[in-house]
Amino acid sequence: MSANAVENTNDLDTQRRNNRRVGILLALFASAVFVTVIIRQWVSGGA
Amino acid sequence: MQASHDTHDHAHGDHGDHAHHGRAPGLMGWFTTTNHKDIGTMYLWFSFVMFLVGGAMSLVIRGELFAPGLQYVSPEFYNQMLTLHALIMVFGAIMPAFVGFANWMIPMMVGAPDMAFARMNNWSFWLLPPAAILLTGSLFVPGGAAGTGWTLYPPLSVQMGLGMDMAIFAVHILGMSSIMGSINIITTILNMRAPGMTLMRMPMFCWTWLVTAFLLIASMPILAGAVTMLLTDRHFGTSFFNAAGGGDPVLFQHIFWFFGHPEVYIIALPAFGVVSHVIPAFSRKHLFGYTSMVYAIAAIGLISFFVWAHHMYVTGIPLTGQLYFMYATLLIAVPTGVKVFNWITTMWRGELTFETPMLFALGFLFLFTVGGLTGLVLAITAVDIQLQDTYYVVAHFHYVMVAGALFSAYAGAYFWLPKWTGRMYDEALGKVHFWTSIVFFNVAFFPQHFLGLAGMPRRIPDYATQFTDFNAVSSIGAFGFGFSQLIFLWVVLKNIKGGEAAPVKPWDGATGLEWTLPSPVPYHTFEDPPVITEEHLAAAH
Ligand SMILES: [Cu+2]
Repeated sequence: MSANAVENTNDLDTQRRNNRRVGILLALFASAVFVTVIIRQWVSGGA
Repeated sequence: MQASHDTHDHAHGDHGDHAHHGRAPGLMGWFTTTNHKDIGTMYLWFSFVMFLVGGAMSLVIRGELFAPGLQYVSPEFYNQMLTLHALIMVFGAIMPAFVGFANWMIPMMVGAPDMAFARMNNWSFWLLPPAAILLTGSLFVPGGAAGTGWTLYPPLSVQMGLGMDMAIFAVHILGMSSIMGSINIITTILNMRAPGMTLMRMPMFCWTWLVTAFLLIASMPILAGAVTMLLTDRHFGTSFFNAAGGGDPVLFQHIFWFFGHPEVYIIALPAFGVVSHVIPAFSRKHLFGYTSMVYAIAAIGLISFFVWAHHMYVTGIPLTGQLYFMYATLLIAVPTGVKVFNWITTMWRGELTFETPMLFALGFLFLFTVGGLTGLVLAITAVDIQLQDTYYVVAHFHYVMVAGALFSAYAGAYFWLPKWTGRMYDEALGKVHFWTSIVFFNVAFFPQHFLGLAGMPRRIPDYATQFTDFNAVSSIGAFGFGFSQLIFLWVVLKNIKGGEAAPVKPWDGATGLEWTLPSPVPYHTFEDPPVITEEHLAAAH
């Protein structure tokens, strides 16, 4: 989370860069959960 | 506070092109729109259509159950109806309804011009109709739709036909849509609040959605993983859940409910958020206990990941496991109790009036408390072993889902409708909608507690004759409740066509940035961040 003071100002470039950073981080987290669920069951051989 | 005004040339370079005029004309405009208000509207209409489709399926169920014996449908079709009813209501109606509210209200509440990722927002919505077509279309393929119940338990889900694959694919698509929607909501809330709108001054609806979006991002991939493994078990020779190959069907239940219990709060938390706006507005007081409300929401969200096996008391988990999951589940009553206490205290010595939004919010409060109470009953292992898979459970979760989520969605819809359309709705009709809904709801679902206590199993199209009377009453209630919902359609259509113009703030007790905007809200709002003053803050106190 970046400092609130710069948010929704008219500096669109900064805004977009910050948004992209948070968005990519969240997408990576979701993907990691998805992969972990499957790998975890795969290596345990169904236990 | 007001930032310097230098964006305009800046923005016109790449995506500023849709920033200064409205939607493209006709149908194409709806396909291509990136405006949060358009997308919110589409989510809300989509969810209402799905609500009617899922509702029609529930009437097939209640029609069949009106009397013992088999009357109208085969047992196989009955199973498909109850499966699709649940999947459509959960993923097609309730969740998109609250995402619709989020799209409409969150940017306006935090003083942002739109959602953080406007084009991804468009994609999130347009993934939904294909998923809906897959689910309903699966009824027409050989073997019909999935008949496993929404829990999709193996071994049945490993054995069923093409309809099951379509359901799995639909769940994948819906999951992607939810995850993208959540990424959008979190980023909007964390990054795009107007200066001065600190997290702890944020309206409660935004708080509930912030926690909900994290729950979604953490839990939807788990469901996606579970159904992916189902898919590979079905078609690619793996044996995650297939006992014939050394797999474990109970493993699926663990994974499913690790998603499934947080899902309950994914539905309930935004409902709490809406009610936390409506009750203060019609009590003409600030929300009592803002800080404790925020912590309660976070606590509920966190604990919801550690209680999943209360759905699995009879699967042979160890006694210590049963005890742990019982106590952990009972623990959720504490933050939930804090919230109910705060809502009641908000009303205490308030100047109460009972317009339709307030009626639905109070309906929510009463009925959700009933559903929460039966949830505590079911959390107790020794009791649950008796009541597992009976109508008591069906009654319990309909009090939570219908009364909890649907009633608060109506509270929100009536509350914000004047802001959206710029006109007041027909208050008398709204009240008729509320009273028919709450009476018929209880006629439909209260007797199901008795049926369950007497031992009537769920998910069966036929039953022993001693259950006849309560089933007949329940079916009459269900049909009454179903047709009462058409009153809402009438109210909305009437409101779109005309009606008395709504003032900027039709509810004198309402607080928050959205009530500083004209009614109807202009297509673009807060392109320059607003200056936050004390009186705007729904949160203050
Ligand atoms: Cu649960």
